Amino acid sequence: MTLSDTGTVPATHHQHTAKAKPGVMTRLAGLVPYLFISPAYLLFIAFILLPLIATVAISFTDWPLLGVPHPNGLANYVALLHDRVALSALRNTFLFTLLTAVIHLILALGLALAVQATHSRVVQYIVRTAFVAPFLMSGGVVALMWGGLLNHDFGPIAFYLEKLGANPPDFLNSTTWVIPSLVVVDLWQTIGITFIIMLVGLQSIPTVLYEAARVDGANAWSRFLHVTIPMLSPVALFAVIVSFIGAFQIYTWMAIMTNGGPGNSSLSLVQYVYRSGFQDFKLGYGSTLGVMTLVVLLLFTLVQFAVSRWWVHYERM
Amino acid sequence: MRRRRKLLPRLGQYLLNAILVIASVGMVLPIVYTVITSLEPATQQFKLPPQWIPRHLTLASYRLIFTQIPFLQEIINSVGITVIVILGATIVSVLAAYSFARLSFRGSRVLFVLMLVALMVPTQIAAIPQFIIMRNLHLINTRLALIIPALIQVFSIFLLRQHFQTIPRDLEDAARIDGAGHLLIIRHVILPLSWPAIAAVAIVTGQFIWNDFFWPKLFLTSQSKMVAPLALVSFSDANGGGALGPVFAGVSLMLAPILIAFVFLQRRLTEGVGFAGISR
Repeated sequence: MTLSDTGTVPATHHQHTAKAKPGVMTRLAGLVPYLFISPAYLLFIAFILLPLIATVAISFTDWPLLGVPHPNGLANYVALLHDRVALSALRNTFLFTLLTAVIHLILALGLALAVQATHSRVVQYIVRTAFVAPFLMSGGVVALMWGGLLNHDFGPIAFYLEKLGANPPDFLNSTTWVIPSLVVVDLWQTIGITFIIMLVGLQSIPTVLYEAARVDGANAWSRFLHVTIPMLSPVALFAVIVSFIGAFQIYTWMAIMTNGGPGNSSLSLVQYVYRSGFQDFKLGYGSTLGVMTLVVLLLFTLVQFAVSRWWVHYERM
Repeated sequence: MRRRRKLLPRLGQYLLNAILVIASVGMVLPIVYTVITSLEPATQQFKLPPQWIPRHLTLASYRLIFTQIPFLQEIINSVGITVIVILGATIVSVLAAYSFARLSFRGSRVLFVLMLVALMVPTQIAAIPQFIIMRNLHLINTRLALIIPALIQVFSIFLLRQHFQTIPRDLEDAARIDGAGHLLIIRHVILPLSWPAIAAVAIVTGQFIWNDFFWPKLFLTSQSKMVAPLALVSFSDANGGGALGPVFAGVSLMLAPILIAFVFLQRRLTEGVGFAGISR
């Protein structure tokens, strides 16, 4: 292969310098691994680890944006227990996440099965393009677009629904419809990635398994039930966790399309962190909300892993 | 008998293809609607029923968006930040991933696992200390505030490390006997065997930066420094939602970089997305 050629040719230049000062070189060589991870690790500490630890620390203080922090013990956490806005943010985020994750899984699986079943390469290409394209659009742009589409007065969706004889609600101004509407927007943008993950998962199931099942007299349905589902389950779990973690930190739709409204019926947790910190200027309380969000997310992720023992088949390929 | 058996699956295929094509058209319709509306005269934009084949086409909305806000600059900001982060984060990630995958050093396991914790944690919940850090670094309202923290992509490091571990060591040993340094090994042995993984990492990173709204909203305040989506949102808010045409013109223009990416990278993109998904 050409690899070994390209590997050795430039190497000869280096040989001389390496032989010149062996003592220094070996000592330096011990530092190389640290040197290589240091850009990544310094950034990791400065912009991920430190802010996380700081969030926990700040959550025990009272800190107005332009002032200095004063430790106030558990006062923020006590306030959190009585905060009905936090409760509704939790409820909204959870509802949004649950709907998104479940519908994602079902739609993406159906679509992937359909694309695998069709013999037409053209149709496969069309579906891939149409469903992945929105994923590459910027969230802010998607929100502006759907804000127009879902508008009650001039949006086409309400118009066509009315024409079909339905009586569409004012999607973004209805306390019951606002979260489902945002779920639709989210699905539109991100269903493509879940679909591709499922498709790759389906394609990696060895065909031998299907043939063996067929020989044993299994029909299409029982092949689906006993081969496809168990073999796909690790990929499905991965897809669920990805869409769960993504949906749990949702901010863009609410920030642009509803501003958390009507009332607080679409306020998300991350949005509430932002609002407390940068609109109400309560850095301490905002951090407390951040800690709560983190704890809830970690708890649910743990629950998912625990529950997955019951439905995910781990003897994979 | 034989005929009928063949006919039924064929009918099924037609039906399946029809459903898939209709679904695909449905996915694209919102985009088509947006582009058409952006090309209509202002008097027509709010009128129902929507005209799918408009009688009058005009670029008035496009002229407006470029004159009302520095939109060209903002598109350049968006594309520029995305490209710089892709390049920078990939270099940072390759170096770290190579070190974790290939070089044995004290503390390597602990450092790696500690980093992985970040995969489970949304960084937005730490927005308050992030803001304070940026304020102390005097980076508020600079594009660097978006670039520097994005150079650490833990998922990329993880994915690349997994991939580097599958590359046979003999290839490097041959190079190492010749005295090749680690950087040369990375360039001439590791990278040529890793393009699919690197493409996946670049796509995931690029999508993440391009898609994000939270950090630009937090860090950028002046028009000329904003990324395009944020600029469009603040323009839309300033007009109380009344500037549908110019906003949709901006939205349509933001499709251009994606279309260009798609034309050149369709296979790579879907493969990359799938690769990233599957090997996580």
